[in-house]
Amino acid sequence: MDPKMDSGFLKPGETLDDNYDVSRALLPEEVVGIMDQLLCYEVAWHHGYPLSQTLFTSIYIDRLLWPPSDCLSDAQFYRGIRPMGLHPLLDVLRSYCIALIKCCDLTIEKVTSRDYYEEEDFSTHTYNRSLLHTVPHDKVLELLRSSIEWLSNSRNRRPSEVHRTSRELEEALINRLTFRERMLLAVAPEQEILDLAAVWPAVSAALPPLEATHSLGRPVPDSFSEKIQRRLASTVPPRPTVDFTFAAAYTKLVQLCKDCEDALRVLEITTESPQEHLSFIWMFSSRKPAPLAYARSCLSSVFLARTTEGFEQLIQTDLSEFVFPADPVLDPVNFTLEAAQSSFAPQDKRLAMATIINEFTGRAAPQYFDMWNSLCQNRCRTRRMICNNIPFIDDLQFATEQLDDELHDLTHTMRYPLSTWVYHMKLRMVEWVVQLGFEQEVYLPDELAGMYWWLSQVASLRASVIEQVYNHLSRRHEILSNGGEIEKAETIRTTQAFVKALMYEATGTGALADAMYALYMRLHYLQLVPILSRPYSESSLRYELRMKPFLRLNPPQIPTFEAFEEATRMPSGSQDDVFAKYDVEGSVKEAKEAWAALKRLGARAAKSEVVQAAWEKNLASTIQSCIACGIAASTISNIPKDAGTGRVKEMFQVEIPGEGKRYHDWWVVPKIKRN
Amino acid sequence: MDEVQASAYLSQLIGKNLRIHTNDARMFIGQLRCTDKDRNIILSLTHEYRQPSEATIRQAIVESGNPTAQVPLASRFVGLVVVPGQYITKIEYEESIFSRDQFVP
Repeated sequence: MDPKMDSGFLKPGETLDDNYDVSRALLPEEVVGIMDQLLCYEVAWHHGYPLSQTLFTSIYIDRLLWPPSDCLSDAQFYRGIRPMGLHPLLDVLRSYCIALIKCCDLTIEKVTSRDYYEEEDFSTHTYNRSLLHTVPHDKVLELLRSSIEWLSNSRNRRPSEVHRTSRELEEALINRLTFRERMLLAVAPEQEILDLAAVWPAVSAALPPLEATHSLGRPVPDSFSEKIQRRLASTVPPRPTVDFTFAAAYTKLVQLCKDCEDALRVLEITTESPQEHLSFIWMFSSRKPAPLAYARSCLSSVFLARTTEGFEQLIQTDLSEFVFPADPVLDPVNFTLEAAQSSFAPQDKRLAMATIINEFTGRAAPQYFDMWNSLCQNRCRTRRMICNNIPFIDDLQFATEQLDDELHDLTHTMRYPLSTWVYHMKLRMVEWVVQLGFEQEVYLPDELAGMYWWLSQVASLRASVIEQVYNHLSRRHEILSNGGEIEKAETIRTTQAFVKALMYEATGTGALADAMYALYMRLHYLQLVPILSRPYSESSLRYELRMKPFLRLNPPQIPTFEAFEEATRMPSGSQDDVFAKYDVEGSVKEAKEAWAALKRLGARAAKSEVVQAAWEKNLASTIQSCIACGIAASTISNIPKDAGTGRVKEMFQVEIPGEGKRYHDWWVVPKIKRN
Repeated sequence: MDEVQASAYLSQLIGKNLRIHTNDARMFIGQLRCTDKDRNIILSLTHEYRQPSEATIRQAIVESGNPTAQVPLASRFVGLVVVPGQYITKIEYEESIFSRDQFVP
């Protein structure tokens, strides 16, 4: 029999039983040690390791869960009659373990309530063990509180009764139980929490005492066993236990609490503004280290938990923030009208408009939901899911044009407002895909020039779309303020500011991408970019592969392979000509101006008020990337004319920085050093 | 038995509950999915059972004071498994679906 293939295989003389006696009396420092070890395993589990290699290695937890018990009072370290003289500290440990198990149960419930990827994000497998799922969490809270009370009372008793427990250790135990109590309150189902924003700060506040008193504990390694895995419902042979040191686990736990707390700051967005939410979710998912599955599910279970009607409403708000501010098309009155009974009666225009908008939102809602859902996934999934969604958005745009024609007959708004909105969303998604590609190092160094070239085209296209919307808004603003409708004019002005912010963002992206393209082309000319030899691949097929998510789109139609080849071919000619053709400095200047203008407009105008600090930081690192790009260009600018390729290669060291080593993950500015 | 009879005999067992004993004193109970000429057997929805260790039996006797104390078989669910033919010592067929219940603790 093969021990690698057979999880139940025992070596000669080996038994399944552990020689650890769970009813033995424990010293308080041992209880602290066990609790801290359990905490390390819990954090490891949150980081995606299976329960079998973490919490389920604890013999105490195993005894509570197996054989299975239906009610809380049956979940004991012993089965049947309570042994005589069971040490009271074991009850304290039991309360802690039960609360921990309940926390795991509620965590799994929360994570699985939204989209997640098993084993990629999180491991929900419980190996056929029920994690006290039927026990209500307030019963567990009661149990915890009675243990806390017992410990606090024993402080006042005579020393002999408290089993020589020193005051410090008692405090340490109370700290751990208090932390567990707050954690349990925080992971409870949302509808049972009164003040969602307050629960995670409370958990964070309970953490420092754990670290301070960790040194008091004494580990009990015997109470954990890898062997338990042989008794779980799994065909996988035992794997090594995942050991996080307490210090590492503690840092990660602090981060987890902070992420959960910040995820729930989404509740601070009081307006139903989709753009506010969009920048919130982007800022949240771009955090480093990346938020764990649980923190992300905290965000998505608040934000995505709305009905289809809810998303349709959100689309309407989105439209009113872009193409239809204070527009009669979205007047709430329109949606209250009923069709005339008689077919001879003239049709109400407002009703017709409402019908068109309803039809549009109904059609767009699934794709719109998918976009939000993909943003709430892990970073790599976000990119893949957006790639998959783009073709559907393309179809939507095509279908919307007809609705736009019908709408145009009814009202004198801009041409194609609805499809413009869809088009803008699509272009943004294309940009995201390319930029997340840079972030995730999808592209090789010699492909960067081509991808920045494409990015700059998409961004300029988006800028021109936004400009049309801006012009339309300016016209309406003029008409309304001349007509004395101050309130409506004011609404349009706010929207104008936002559209302006979008425009700066698009032009800034376009110009910086252009600068990066030009910089990489100059480096190609100097043969400073490492080029892989690809004996078995063809550049046309590689191009098709990179453009795969966008092949079907129309608009924006992807450039033909010939055009791409033309743009990225190794430049030839004199150095002056090449450097003049690929104008890095001009583009950098343009980009800097656009980003600086966005900065002047501020987070409020850009609808990123709730995440202002992160927004400003993001902007600052983008501007730093602009500057770094300019510096890189100037480093290679003054090369003596007679220097051959060989000498140029000796003169410079070019490093393409990896993820995390850049000013901004989306801008791969090469680091160039002159020797 | 000729080949036709043999395959007819084996085919009728497919999907039926079998008890397979192995030479390390374990028993697997699950539905037969397939088998081959080496007597390798694939079972689905399988439970693994093993004799309780001597220490457990001794402890049960001490605790109950009864030398004929009953100790349940240790069992767990393992799902879809292959049992290599060379380790199989006995194969039993469960006649009734109800008879299975007494093995599940």
